[in-house]
Amino acid sequence: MMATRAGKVRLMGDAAALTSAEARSASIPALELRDLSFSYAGSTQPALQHLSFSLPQASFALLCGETGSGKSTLLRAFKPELEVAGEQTGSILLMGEDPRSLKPADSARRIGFVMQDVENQLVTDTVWHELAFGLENIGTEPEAMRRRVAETAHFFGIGAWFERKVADLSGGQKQLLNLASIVVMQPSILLLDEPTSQLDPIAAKDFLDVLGRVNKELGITVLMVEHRLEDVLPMADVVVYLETGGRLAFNGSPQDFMHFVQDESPEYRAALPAATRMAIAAPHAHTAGEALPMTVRDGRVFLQQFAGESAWSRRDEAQPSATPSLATQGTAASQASRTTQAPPATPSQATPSSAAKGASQTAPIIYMRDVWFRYGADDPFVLRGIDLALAPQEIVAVVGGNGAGKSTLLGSLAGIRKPYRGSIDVAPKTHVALLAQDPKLLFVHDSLWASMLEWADFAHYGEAEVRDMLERFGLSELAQRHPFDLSGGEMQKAALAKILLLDPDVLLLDEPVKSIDAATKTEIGRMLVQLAHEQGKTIVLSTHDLEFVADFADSCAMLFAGQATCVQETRRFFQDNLFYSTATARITQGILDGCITTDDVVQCWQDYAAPNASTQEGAHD
Amino acid sequence: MLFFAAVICFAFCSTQPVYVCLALAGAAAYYIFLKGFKQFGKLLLFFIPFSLLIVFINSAFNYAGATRLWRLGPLFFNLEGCLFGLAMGGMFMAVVTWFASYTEVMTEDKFTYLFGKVAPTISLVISMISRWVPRMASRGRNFFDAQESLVGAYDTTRAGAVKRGSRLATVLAGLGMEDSICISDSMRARGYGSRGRTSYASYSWHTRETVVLCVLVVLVLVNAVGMALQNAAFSYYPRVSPIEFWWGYVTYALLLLVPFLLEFEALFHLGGAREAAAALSPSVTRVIEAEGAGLARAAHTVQTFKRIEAPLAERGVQQ
Repeated sequence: MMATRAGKVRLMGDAAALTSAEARSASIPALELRDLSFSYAGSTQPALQHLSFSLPQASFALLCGETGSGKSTLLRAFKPELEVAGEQTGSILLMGEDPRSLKPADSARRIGFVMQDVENQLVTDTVWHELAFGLENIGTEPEAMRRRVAETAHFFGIGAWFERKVADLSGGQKQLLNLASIVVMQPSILLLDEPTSQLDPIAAKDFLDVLGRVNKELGITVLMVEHRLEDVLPMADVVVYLETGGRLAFNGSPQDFMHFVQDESPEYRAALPAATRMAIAAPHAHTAGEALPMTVRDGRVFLQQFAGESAWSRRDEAQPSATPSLATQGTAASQASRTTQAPPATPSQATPSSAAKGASQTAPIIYMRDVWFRYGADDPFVLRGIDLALAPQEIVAVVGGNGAGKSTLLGSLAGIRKPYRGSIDVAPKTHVALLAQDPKLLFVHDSLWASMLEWADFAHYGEAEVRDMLERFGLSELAQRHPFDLSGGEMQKAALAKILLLDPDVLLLDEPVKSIDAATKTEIGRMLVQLAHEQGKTIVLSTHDLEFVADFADSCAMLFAGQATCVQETRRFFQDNLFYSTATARITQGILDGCITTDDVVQCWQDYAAPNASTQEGAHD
Repeated sequence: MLFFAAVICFAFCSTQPVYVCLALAGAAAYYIFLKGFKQFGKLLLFFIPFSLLIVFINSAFNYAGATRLWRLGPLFFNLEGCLFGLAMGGMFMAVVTWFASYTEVMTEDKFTYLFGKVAPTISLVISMISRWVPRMASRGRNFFDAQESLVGAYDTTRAGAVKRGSRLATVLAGLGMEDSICISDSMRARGYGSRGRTSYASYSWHTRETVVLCVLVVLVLVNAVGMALQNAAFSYYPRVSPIEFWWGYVTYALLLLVPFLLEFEALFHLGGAREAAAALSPSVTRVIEAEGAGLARAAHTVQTFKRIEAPLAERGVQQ
């Protein structure tokens, strides 16, 4: 690696001094923090407190922590150009040097930073120009630049769309380009601030795969803030965990980190991979030394072992049929019906199933028949003969890959995309409201309060209603803020609150939980369940988040190539799908059928622990 | 670039019928070469009525011509006006067709390459703008969709729609500001503003380019002289001047053919001569047909003018 680095440096036309400096630095940690503290300008509350840790060169480090623990602030402190205004004490050393002492060109070259916002990181209009932009800035010679751009394009496999306009790329391609246009400068450390939060799951995985290659094949140190631990945790060598208040709570290997969360930070468990959550919830206590599974594969092995050890032996005890046995469909289904969707253990526990039953009898509130749609006469059809009946008071999730037509389907339900053929019948006196993918578009005023009042005149609501609504969504304290200063989750809640002021009967939500942290996601999910099952709203939402669907939706429609390939009750949907399913369902398939969420598995564990209860349950059948 | 500038200028500068015919034929041929007949047909569909309108207006309101054809109410139509209108129409069409080809050929990166050294900031700004404009447009559409889908049903009044429309500017400005914070972060993070900015070039300059440039310059100069002479010698009013063969036409045709010559050269270099010929044959035929038609038309114009000229001269004498 040193040799290639040296070669590249010479290509850059830099002085030989730099080369030897880097050679000397081989044993120095890539990043070292000594007692770093930080507080925002005008605030006495410290955002980061006494952080000391170091990352070895070429490591893949994951920086995580709950919302408000100062992850992004810390990440930005490593890049002088992006520092947050405030007071900093202690020191940061990047390859043994203070980043603030670097010249701008060196800083740009050596510290790469990839941000969350996919769109706005792109500066120019074509792919090749974007790749060259950084090199142009630091004054690379045209010959060297051409070569480096070519190398990078090759490494990232973007040769095929090298000449394209940035506007024609998909979100995943754009973020890959963002990464490539940083890596082209040959940084020694790569900082990433939630780079996959705006991507759909497939694109996110592609991105992480490439990032893994950058780390393994180019030896570039990676430090990434991410809350999608399901995919990232197995890749990382080092995990740094910050507590609220910006204190370092953990620094070590992923395996140790899982034990740490298990033992000392239960509130963060929800963020762990499904396999880990499942194992942590397993009835017999885990000693600190035992490895916890991280991936679906490990999870399956774990479960099989567990089934071999405990369940079989238990099954031999007297009443095999009565126990909710592993791998028996019938009893698993009874489990299923008992541990239904709604996680809030409210009296509404029984409501979903009854609502769903009632739905199948009453007339659909919206009925789509053979709907075809295309955007222009020369364009291909996006929807190709969709048949869909929406029962009232149900939460329907529309899932499917990118470009499958999810947004278009919602648009045509909302009446803004007139079908080319077919019909959409809406029950009389039904107000349909669509919440578009970008909630920012709904906030045109300078404060949240003023924005909420925007439609008061014709939708007949007043300040009292607005106050109630903000209260309900826990937004009251933010009323005077500028809408754009809200976080992604707050913005989404505010948008939902705003369209609820219109009191629609049917709510269409386009990707309501995209790039939102786990806690807010659950909050929104519970809110939706309440709206549908208690207030009689019909909700259709499109999403890529299958875990969310498994937790909260009553039924699922899968779109593929413009057609609804299947419309099923959620549990059936995930049981019948082999790959397009939640991680839990993929882990338990064939071993513990019928479990699609961690809660289901936990329920199963509990039934083991209390065989009497399960006997009663078995008698029900 | 120089070629397009020169050709568009020339097309603008002369309403002399032979020049117009040549310009039109050249423009048409190149456009067809780039985009195919279908696209050219679309362009024609738009331009034929437009040219006719020019002919009508020009001949109806222009009394400078000496040869009256017919009258319509208070309007007199005269032959010279008609011809001048026709030439004007042809000229406009040639200019616009050249422009269409220009936008097709001169992509932003070529422009940046040419001016990147002289004014790196300008070329970057152009690049940024060409990214920003379509984004804003799609934002605007999304905004209308979002608003329409929510409140369209509640507030169907026209005033409501206008009010929503007027919000658009505020929203776009707001979002634009938001974006710019992130964009500038991204620019600074990648070292924008450090000294000695260079420019990436997807093209390189060789002797061949120099030769082509020299040839172009010579052709342009010769044509400029030729056209100036011809323009001075030719007029529509009061009578159409006679048209003779003129060496300037040949150089003009040559100038117009330059892009084709370059394309052919590239193609011949790419594959063996035979394959190239095979690959070329459709486009070659197209071009030759079009260019030939242009020359034929030019020749035809010369003759027609002569034919018109003779009786007119007589009638003129009679009048």
